[in-house]
Amino acid sequence: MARRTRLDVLNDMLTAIQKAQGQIKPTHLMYKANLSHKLLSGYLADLISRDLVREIQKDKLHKQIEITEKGRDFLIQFRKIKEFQDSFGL
Amino acid sequence: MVTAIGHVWYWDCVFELLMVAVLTLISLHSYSIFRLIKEAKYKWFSYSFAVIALAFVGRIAMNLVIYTTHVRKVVSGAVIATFKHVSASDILWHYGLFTYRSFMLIGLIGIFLIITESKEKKSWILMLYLAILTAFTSMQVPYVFSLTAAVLMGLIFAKFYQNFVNRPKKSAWGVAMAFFFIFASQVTFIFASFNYSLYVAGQVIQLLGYLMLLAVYIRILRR
Repeated sequence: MARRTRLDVLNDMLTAIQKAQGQIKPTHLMYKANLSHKLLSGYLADLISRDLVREIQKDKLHKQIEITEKGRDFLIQFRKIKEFQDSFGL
Repeated sequence: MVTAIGHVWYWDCVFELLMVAVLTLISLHSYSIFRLIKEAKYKWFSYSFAVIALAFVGRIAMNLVIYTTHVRKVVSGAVIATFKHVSASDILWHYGLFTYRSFMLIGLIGIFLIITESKEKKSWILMLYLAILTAFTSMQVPYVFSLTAAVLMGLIFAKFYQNFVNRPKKSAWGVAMAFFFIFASQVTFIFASFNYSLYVAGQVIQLLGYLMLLAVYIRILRR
């Protein structure tokens, strides 16, 4: 199986959140996107910095990850972005 | 004084306008990806294509130079001599040519450094310096530009072909072939000073390359 690119991982994470009605617990996201805890933290920080997801603090101990409008737009555009990336080898 | 636009350059301008359109579309698409996922390489890729588009704009300006026919009469005693000569607007022509050559080389270097994932700032600065130096030198020795551009395009083609081998997709093949045609056109331009028909052939080959890029762009949009 081919190694996932960064773009593929971001897409897998956003798809998992979208499928969970737009909100998901970090641990569930870790399993759904098939990532280790360390990798999840890195990619999650990346998604938050790009405004594709946001963190919601439910209470003192629990937080959830919510997909943003920009994140939904990313999912719509993903196939085009992927095709562009593959075409030019970016 | 009579002024006229050289009709020989008319088709050049039409071809180059099409190339500007293709390059601008790819540049804008790459920039829209950058705005969405904030990966710098898409921004620089967009800028590189935009710079090549600007290079062609400079070339169009150069080709639209107004040719002026001067008639000068010299009276010397009973003899009246009439001199007639045609001259291009030298300053505009030289600026247009220098802009075209330097921007084209900078754009090509940009694409090459991005697809080879070169992140060293020093190599970017060195390459920019060499691009401007080559453009400057080529004002005296014209084939230096075509040769340098051909080398860069050959390297870019090789990298895109390698990408196709790694990711065998129609669009990756399209990009590789488009750059092969653009590379072939530059090789043809090297010999254009010996035979004008080679220049025409080079322009047609170059247009084919850009039309293939347009086909890839349309394919991407259909996804």
